[in-house]
Amino acid sequence: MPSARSDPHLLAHTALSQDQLSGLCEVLRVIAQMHKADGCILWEVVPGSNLETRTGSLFTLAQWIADNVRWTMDDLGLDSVAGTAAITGESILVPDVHKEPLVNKSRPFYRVLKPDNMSSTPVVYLDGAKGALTLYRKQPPALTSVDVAEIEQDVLLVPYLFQAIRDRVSFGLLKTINDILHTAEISTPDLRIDDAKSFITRICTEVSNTFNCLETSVFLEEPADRGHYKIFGTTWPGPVDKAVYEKDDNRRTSWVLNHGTAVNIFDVVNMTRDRESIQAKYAGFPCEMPQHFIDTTRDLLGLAKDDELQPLSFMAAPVAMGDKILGAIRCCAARKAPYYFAGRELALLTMVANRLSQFWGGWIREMEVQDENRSWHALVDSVGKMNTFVHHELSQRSPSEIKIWKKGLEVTKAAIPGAEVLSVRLRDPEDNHLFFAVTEGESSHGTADQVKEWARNRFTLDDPQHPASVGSHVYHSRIAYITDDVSGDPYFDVSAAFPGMKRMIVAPIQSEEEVFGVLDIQCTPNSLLPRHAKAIAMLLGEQLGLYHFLSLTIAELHKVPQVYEDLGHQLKTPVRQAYERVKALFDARLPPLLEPSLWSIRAVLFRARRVVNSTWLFAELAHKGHITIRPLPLTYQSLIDLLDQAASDNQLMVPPFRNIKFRVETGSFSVMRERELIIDQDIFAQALDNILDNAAKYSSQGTNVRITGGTTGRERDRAYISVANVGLRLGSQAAKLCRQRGWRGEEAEWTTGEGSGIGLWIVDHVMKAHNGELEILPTNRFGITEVRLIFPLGRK
Amino acid sequence: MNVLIVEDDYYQAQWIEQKILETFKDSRCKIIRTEREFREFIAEREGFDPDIIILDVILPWTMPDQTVDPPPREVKINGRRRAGMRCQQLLAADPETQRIPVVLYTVLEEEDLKEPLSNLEHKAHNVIYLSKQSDPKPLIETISRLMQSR
Repeated sequence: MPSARSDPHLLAHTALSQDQLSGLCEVLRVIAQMHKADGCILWEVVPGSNLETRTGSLFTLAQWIADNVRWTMDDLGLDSVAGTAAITGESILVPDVHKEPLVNKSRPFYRVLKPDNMSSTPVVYLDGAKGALTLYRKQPPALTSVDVAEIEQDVLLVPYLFQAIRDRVSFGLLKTINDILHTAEISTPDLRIDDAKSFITRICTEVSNTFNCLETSVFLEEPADRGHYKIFGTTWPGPVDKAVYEKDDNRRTSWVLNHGTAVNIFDVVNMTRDRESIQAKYAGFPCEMPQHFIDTTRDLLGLAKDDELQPLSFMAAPVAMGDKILGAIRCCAARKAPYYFAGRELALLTMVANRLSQFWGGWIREMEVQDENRSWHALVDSVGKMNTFVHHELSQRSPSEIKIWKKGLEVTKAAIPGAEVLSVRLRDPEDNHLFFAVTEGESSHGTADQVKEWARNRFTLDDPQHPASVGSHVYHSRIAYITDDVSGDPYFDVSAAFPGMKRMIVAPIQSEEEVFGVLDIQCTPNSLLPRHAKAIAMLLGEQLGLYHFLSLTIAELHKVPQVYEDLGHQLKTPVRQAYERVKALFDARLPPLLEPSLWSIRAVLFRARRVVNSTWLFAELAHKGHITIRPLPLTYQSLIDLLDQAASDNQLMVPPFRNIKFRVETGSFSVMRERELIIDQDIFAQALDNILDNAAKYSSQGTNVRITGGTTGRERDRAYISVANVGLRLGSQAAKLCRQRGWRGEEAEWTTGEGSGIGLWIVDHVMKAHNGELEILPTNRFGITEVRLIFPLGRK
Repeated sequence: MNVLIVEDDYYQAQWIEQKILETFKDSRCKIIRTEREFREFIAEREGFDPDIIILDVILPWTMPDQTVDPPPREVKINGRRRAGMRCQQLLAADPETQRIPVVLYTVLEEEDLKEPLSNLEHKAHNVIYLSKQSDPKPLIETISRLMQSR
C-alpha cells in the first residue's frame, strides 16, 4: 500500500527534470522531505568488496543534507547499519543512534551529521551493485516501522530514477557533443589544429558539467607527430602536470593509450588499498598516486583540512579507430555526488570517445588527403622540372648520371614529407651486390660521417628465394616495400641500419625490362612517412629507372661516334710516327741504319693500314649490316706466306721490352696442301691481323703466340687457323660476349690504353661472310686462350 | 733536368724521350706506361725526382698478365680515358708534387678535358694542355717555357 507521505509521481517528476547526474541528490531531497528526515544518504558497496566475508566498505553515491553540511564518506564499514542492510537485504530501524552499537561514534557520520535516529533500507542497483538508503533525523520523534515500510516503497524506485537521470543526461551530453563536432566537421577542410583544440575544449567542458568532475581532458596524436599524445583540451583548473603522453610512460592515461581499453577506478587516492582488484581487472595499471595531486585536488575542490575527501574516481576511454589509437579522454574527481564513475558513466564516456574518434579520424584523413594532394601536385611539378634537368644533362657531351640521381633524390625529398636520408643503390654487376651510388640528406640521429660510413654497406642479390635484405627483396619482387619499424622487420638487417632509423620505404629503380637498383627513403622516429609515400616512391623509382635506361641507350648511341673517335686516335699516332721516321731519313743524308728504320716505318704503316681497314669494314657493316667479299682460291703456299707476313708485321708492333714472339707452325698446315681455301685474301688478312693484335695486346711478357692450323668437322671438310696465347684470362661468359660490337672485357679495359671494341665483331662478320665461323675458346687450365677461324674447305 | 714521361705507346714514349735528350743535354728521362705504375712511382719516387711530367691522358691501368688485380673503384667507373686526370689529381693532392709542372700531352681535344680539368679538386695552374702533334717543336718549347718559369 502506498503511503500517504510517499509520492512516486513527485519522485518521477523530480528525476526527469534533472540534466546532471548530481540531480540524483534532488531525488534524495524529495525522499528526505517526504519522511521529514534531516538527511538522506544513498550508499553503494565499494567495487571489489566481498559481502560474504564482509571485507570492503560502502561509499556515498549521493546525499542530501538539510543544512548544506559538506559531508561525504567512502569507507563506511560493512559492519555498519547501512552495510548490514546491504548485506542482509533487510531494512534496519535505529530509534536511538547513541545506543546503537553498529554506529561507530568516532566516524564523521556520527560526529558531523549528529543523527538521533535513523533507518537504512537495502538498495539493489540496476547493474547488480548493492547498497543502502539511509534516512536520519537529528531529533525525535524517531522514524517508525511504518516510515520504514513507506521508505522501502520509495527505495524500490531509486535505481530506476537514477537510471532515468543517467539516460536523460547521456542523451543530452551525446546530442551536445554531436552538435559541437558536427559544426567542427562542416569546417574540417579549413580547420586548423588550433580550431580543433577549441572545439575539443568545449567538449571537455560539456563532459565535466555532466559528470560534475574537476577534470575532463582529451589527448590526441597529431598526424605529423606520431607517438606523442598532446593535450587538446582540459577543464583542469590548475597547471597541467603532464601535457604530452607516450604509450610507454608509466601513467594511467598511458596505460589506456597502450592497451586501448577503457578504465574506471573507484578512488585513485586508495589505489594501493585496492591494488589487487584493480590489477585483476586492468593488469599492469599504475597504482601509485603522488601526494601533490591529492593535495592539489583537495584545494581545487575547496575542502578544508579536516574535511573527509570524497572518492576521487577516475575513468578514461581510448579514442580509437579500429586498432589504431588516436588518443584518450579522461575524467577525474567529481565535485558533487555521485562521486563514483560506474560502468554506465564509463559507457557514456566511451560513446563520447567514439564520437571524438569519428571526428578526429575524419580530420586526420582530410589532412592526409590534403597532404597527399599537395604531394602529388608538388610531384607533378617537380617531375616536370626534373625532366627538363635530365633532358639538359643527357644532351651534354659527358652526361653525369650522379647529377641525375641527386636531382631525383631532391625531388623525392620534396614530394615525401618526413623523408630524411635518401639513397640510390645500384646493382654492381661484378659481384651482384647493391651498393650506395648516392646518399643525400641528414638525420637528426647521426652525423654526416656516420651516414658516409653507413653508405659503405653492400647487399648481396644472390638470394632471390630468401632475400636477406629489404633491398634484395625489392630488387627481386620489383614491388616497393614499406616498413614502419625496421627493428622488427623480417627483411631488414638492423646491424646494417643507420643508427636511429625507424621507418623506411624501398622502391625498385626499374624500366619495363630490367631492375637497375633501388630507391631508399628513410626516416627516424621524429618524422613520419605519409600513407601515399609508397605510391610516390614507386613512381619515382620508375622515373629514375627510365632516366637510367635513357642514359644507357644514349651511351650506346654514343658508342658509334666514340668508335670513330677511337679509330681516329689510333690512326693519328702511326701516321705521325711514319711521317717523323721518313722525315728523319731525309734529314740524315746517309742514314747509318737504313734497314731498321725502314722496318720501323713498315710497322707503323702496317698499324695505320689495319686501322684504315677496320674503319672501312666498320663503315660497311654499319651501313649494310654485312661484309661483301670477293673470294678467290688460296694456295697452301699463299696461305703460309700470308700467315708469315701477318706474324712478322704484328711482331714489329710489339715493344721489344715485352718480348712476345709470334710463331707460325707451318707443319700443322700440311694437311691443307691437297685442299684449298676460297677466301677474300685482303679481308681475311684483316681478320687475322685483328686476332693477332688481340693476342699481342693481352699476352703476358715473355710469352709466345702460336699460329697453327688443321682440319675439323666429321668429314674433315673444314679448315681452321688457330691463334693461341698465354696472358689475360678469358672466362666462358666473356668468350660468348666478346664478339659483340663495343664489348670490352673489364680486364681488357684496364690493361690496354686503346681499343675500340670492334675487332672481334668485324672478325665474326668476316667469317660469316665466308660461310665460316669464329670460335673463341675460354682460357684453359694451362692459361692458354685460343681463337679459331674456321672455313669451309674446298677440293683442288 | 728530370723528365717523367707517362706514355703507354712504346714508340711514342721513345720518340718523346729522344727529342728531350737531344734538346736538353743535361736531362734524364724515366718512362712509365701504366696508371698503376705511376701511382707506385709517386708513392715512392726513389732515385728520380721529376722536374717536369709529360702526361698522356688515355692510359691502361696495368700490363696484361695471367692474373690481374682489379683496379680501384674510380678506375673501374671512369675508365682509361680519364687515367691521366686521376694521375694529375694525385700530383695536386700531394704538397711535395703539386708544384711540378705537368704537360697533358694527348690526342684528346682540349674540349674533351674541359670538364675533368674544371672538376679537379686541387686546381693546378701549372697544368698545360698540349695536343699530340707530328712536330716536336711545341712540346720542346712548352718544356723550355715551364722550366724557365720555375
